[in-house]
Amino acid sequence: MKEKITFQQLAELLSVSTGGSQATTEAFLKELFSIISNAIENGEKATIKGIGSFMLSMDNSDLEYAPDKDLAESINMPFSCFEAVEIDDDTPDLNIDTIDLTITDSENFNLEQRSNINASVASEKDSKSEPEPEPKTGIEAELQPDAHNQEITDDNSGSDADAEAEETSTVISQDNPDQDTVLATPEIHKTIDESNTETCTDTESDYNEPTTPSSKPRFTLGIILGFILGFLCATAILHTKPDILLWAHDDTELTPINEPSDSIIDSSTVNPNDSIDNDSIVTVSEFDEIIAIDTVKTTRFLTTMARQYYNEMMFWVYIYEENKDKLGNPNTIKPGTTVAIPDLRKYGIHNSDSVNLERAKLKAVEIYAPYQK
Amino acid sequence: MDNKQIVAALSKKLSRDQKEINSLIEALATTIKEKCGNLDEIAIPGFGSFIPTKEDEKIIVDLSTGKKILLPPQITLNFKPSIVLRKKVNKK
Repeated sequence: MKEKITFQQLAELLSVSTGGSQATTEAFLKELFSIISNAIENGEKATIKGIGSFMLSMDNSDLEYAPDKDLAESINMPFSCFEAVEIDDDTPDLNIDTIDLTITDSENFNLEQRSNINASVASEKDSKSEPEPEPKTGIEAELQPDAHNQEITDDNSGSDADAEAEETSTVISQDNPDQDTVLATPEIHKTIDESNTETCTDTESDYNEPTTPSSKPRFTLGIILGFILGFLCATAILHTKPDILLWAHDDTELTPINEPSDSIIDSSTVNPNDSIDNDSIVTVSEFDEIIAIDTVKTTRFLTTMARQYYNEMMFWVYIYEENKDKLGNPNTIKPGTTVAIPDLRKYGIHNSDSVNLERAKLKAVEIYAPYQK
Repeated sequence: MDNKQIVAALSKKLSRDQKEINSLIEALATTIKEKCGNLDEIAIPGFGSFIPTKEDEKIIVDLSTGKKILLPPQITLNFKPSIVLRKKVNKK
C-alpha cells in the first residue's frame, strides 16, 4: 500500500509477467513513453489500449490523462458495489447510520473480495438483460462511472417507481450485492482459472491468507461475513438489544429462518384448525380492503400467506399490522389463529420494488422491537 | 495517435513483431491495474507518475434540486506529468 514503484521495479514486474529479459522491457517502456510524449508534444492525442489516453488540455497549458474504462473500473472495484444515494430529509436516522457504517466497513475491503467482485461483475454482465428504467440525476450519473452499480441495487425495482422511489434503500443495497455474489459463485472459479490465477495468488499472499486450491466457498464466505458484520454493527448501535441482532443477521443472508412462523414449528403445538372463528370474521370484516381470511397453521405462516397473496414474503408485516390486536408477539402466534389478509393498497404498497421491500423490513424491525428483552 | 499507430511505431523502433509489443502493452496494463488497485504509485522518470487517490464517502447537495446525495468512496487513477514533460509541452 502507498508504495512508489520505480522504473526498474516496473520493468522487473513486466519481465516476470511476460517472460522477457529486463533489458527488453526497459527498452520497451522507454520507447513507449517517449513515443507518447512526442505525440503529445506534437499536439496529438495518444491512446493506448488498456491504459488510457494522454492529450493536451484545451488551452495547451497542461496534460490530461483519461484512464481506460476497464482500468478505472477495476481500480475502483472495492467500491463499485455502492451507488450514489439520495438522502431524504425525512429519512429516519436509521437509514443514514446504516449506510455510513456499511461504507466504513467496506473500507477494509481486502483484495480477496476485490477479485471476488471481479468475478461477480463478470457474471453480472452475462446476465444483463434489461436496461435501467430509473432516471438518473445529472450529478448522480456524472459522479458514478460504473453503469452496473445501478443495476446491482435496482434489480428488483419495478418500472413504475412512485414518488417515494427516491427514498434510498439501505437494506436492499446491502443485500443485493450479497445475492449477486452468491449467484456468481460458480463463475468465480472459472474467471480465476481463465485469467486471474496470478493476480489471485498475489493478492491473497499480501493479506497472509493461506491459499488452498479449493477455497471457492471462502470467497463467498468472506463477502457474506463482511456484509453481516456491517449490518450487525449498525443494528447493535441502534438498538443495543441483543435479540434484534438475530433478526438482522438472518435478514442479511436472505433466509427466512426467523420468520414468525418458524417458532411455531419449534413450539410444536401441533393443532391444525381449519375452521374459521366466527368472532374474528366479524371483527375483521369491518375493513373493505380485506381480500381473504386465512388460518395460521403449523405449516402455514404469515410469510406463507404473504407469498401466496402478494408474491412477496417480506410483506407478512402488513398481515401482522392488520391483525396486530390478536397476534401479539410475531414469534409466538398460535396455530389456529385466523387472520385477515388486507389489500396492500391500504398500506400504500403497489408493487414489490426495492423501496417497498425496504419499508417492509423496517416495519418488521418495528414490530419486533417491543418483544425484545 | 491511436493504439495501432503506437504499436506499429514501437515494433519498428524495437525491431520486434507487433504481437510481442501487444502482449507487453497488455502486461503493462495489468501491472498498472494491480499496483494502482493496491494504491501504489507508479513513477516513470521523464514522463510522470500514475497516482491512485482514494476519496472518502461524502454528502453533497445537488444545487438544482436541493437534494442531499451520499457519494460512496472511490479510487480514481490520476496522472501527474513530470516537470520535464510539462516543460516540453509548454514550449509549444
